[in-house]
Parts: sequence; C-alpha cells; structure tokens
Amino acid sequence: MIIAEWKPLPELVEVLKGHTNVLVAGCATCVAECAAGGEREVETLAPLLTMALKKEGRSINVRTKTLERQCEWEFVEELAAVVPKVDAIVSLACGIGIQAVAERFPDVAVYPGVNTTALAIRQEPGLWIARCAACGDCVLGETFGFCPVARCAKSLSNGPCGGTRKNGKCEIDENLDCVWYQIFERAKARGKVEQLLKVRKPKNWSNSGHGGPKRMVREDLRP
Amino acid sequence: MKDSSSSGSTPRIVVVYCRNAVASAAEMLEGPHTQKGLNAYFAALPCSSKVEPSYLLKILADGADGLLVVACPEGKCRFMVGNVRAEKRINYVRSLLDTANMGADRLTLERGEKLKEKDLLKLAQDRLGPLKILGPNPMKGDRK
Repeated sequence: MIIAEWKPLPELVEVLKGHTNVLVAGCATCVAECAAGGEREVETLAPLLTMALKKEGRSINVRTKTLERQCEWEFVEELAAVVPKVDAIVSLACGIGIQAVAERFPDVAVYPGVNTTALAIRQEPGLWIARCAACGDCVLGETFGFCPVARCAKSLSNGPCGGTRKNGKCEIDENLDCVWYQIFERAKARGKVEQLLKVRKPKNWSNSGHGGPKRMVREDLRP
Repeated sequence: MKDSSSSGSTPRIVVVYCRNAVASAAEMLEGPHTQKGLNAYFAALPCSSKVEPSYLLKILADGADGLLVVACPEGKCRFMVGNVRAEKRINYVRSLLDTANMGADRLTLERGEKLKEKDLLKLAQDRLGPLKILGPNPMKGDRK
C-alpha cells in the first residue's frame, strides 16, 4: 500500500489562514490502511483542526467526507456536491489522490494533509515498513523476494556492503534488518547461494521517475 | 441540594467509564449530574477500549472543558488488554491536544475497580481544580 503521515498540525493551521469553510477529504483505501487518511483519521483531524484554529481566534466550518478512493475519477466525483460549499480542501489521500481532487476542482484551494512517504507493508499493528520503490525494473526474482532498492539503505544491487552487523542488522539502524543478509540467508536455505555470485548490472532507471513522469499506455483498454 | 450547574465558572466535564469498573449496575451513572458543584455528564462503555480518538476529540470540540476516561486497573480488563489500548489512545489524543494548544490535561485517564456512584462523582470532582487552572474550553458555546 501507499503510506502517508499527517503533516504537522501547525503547518495545516498556517495554510488555512483566510479560509472559513474547509472540507477534510479522506480516502478509504491505502491511507486508511496506514491510519493516516481514512474515515477515522478524517473524523479525528476535523475536530482537532477546529479546536486548533479556534484557539487562535479563528472560526471555521469543517466538513468531512471520505471517498472509497481519491485516485479514481468516479469516486472523486462524489465531492462535486460539497465542493461548492467550501473554499478549501484538506486532502488526507496520498499525493495521487490529492492531485486528482485538485485537477477535478481547480477553482478551490487543495492542501495536502499528509506527506506521502513510501510503498509499504503493515509488518505488525502500528508498524509499516517500505517494501517497494516503484523503480520500474523489478529484480525480486534475482534477490529471492527481497527488494534491495527499497530495503537496503544504500539501494545496493550487489550487496551486502561492509556495514552489516554481526546480528544481521544494518549499520544505520540496529532495528533495521540488512536486506542483503536476508537475501543471503534465503538463498542459502534454498541451496542457491551461487546465484548471488552473478554481478547485477546497473538497473534501467529510465522506466521509473528518472525517465521523466511515468506514462503507461494499454491501447486495448483505451476508449 | 443547590444546583450549581448554572454557574459559568464550573467546568463542564464528561466522564466515560468502563461498566466493568463499577461495583454493580445500581452504581452506574448515566447522563447529566449537577449536584455537589458538578456540571458533569456520565456515560458507560462496555470497555474503556471503546474510546476512539475521533470521539474523544469531538466531545472536546463540542465544548466540554474536560474529559475523563475511567478504566479498570492494569491486568484486570475483562477483555484482557482493553484498558491498555485505551491508555495508548488517550496518550495519543493528549499529544494531539498539545499540538492544537488545547492542553493535554483536558483529557485524563483514571483507573479503578468496584467503583460506586460516589467514587465516580469524586473522580469527576477531583478534575475540577486542574480544569479551572486550564481555563474554559475556547470551543464553549461554539456548537449548537
């Protein structure tokens, strides 16, 4: 899932200066799973924002609406009834959803309520860890199901580096597993350590953000 | 007994409590209570873990000066860890209240078991002093 974190409240209070009718818009998909922008978080942020602004002597009317997805036009359309009643939208969706709302309603100020941070998995309750960097050149088949791009602090294609601790942790964080240690252990368990001797050439980064904004076309699906 | 709820200086406090923390159903308080200098509203929960950050914040955004959650003692939750979860959520909401400059102490947690009606009233009364120091909730009178 895409994960995100709330922006600091003072930042939101600052950007809402001059606004009197605000919509806090949530998304019930990824950001709900990471407890940043689902209905619960929307209904938490709304009274909190109201109080923070009131404390500064500013009264605003905060409405809330959580869409099934903010990254699908059909769902974004559900905001059409409420947007004319507000002068600003705080979106708790990921960057994709925020931009979709801003594109559909260009006359209204749309502010991000979160910082979108990674593609991650919920490792355990309350803990999300990055698993994918959307690099556009997946090597998971060669690395025994561990992504060195997202999970190695140095994104090494040929690891490990010299910073692996004796207990298999990364030198930058004692709580972080060295992904190349994990790759080696899984390769060993499968009896295929020799596969790791192959030197992986530089990745084709042009198929991700390094090649300009990604554009994927499927002619068979186009109107 | 004189009803002091009309006094504007009496902090309005909402008390939500775990029904398993009271001695019996006869000791449960529900709704508004304005005796003994209190301006309180009591509501029972099936477990203190039923408190959600959004609900807690809405109660304060609706103008309550203080919010008290009463949970069972640690290790005595009927649902094993409900009161532990409640404490974590309350601490989270307290941190949010601080970022909003509302004062974390508007929301507090107390623990107790076999509580009687007078104990619940006492817990609410004990909050009056700290809430008077915090001053009235700026949201007071803002909501209809």
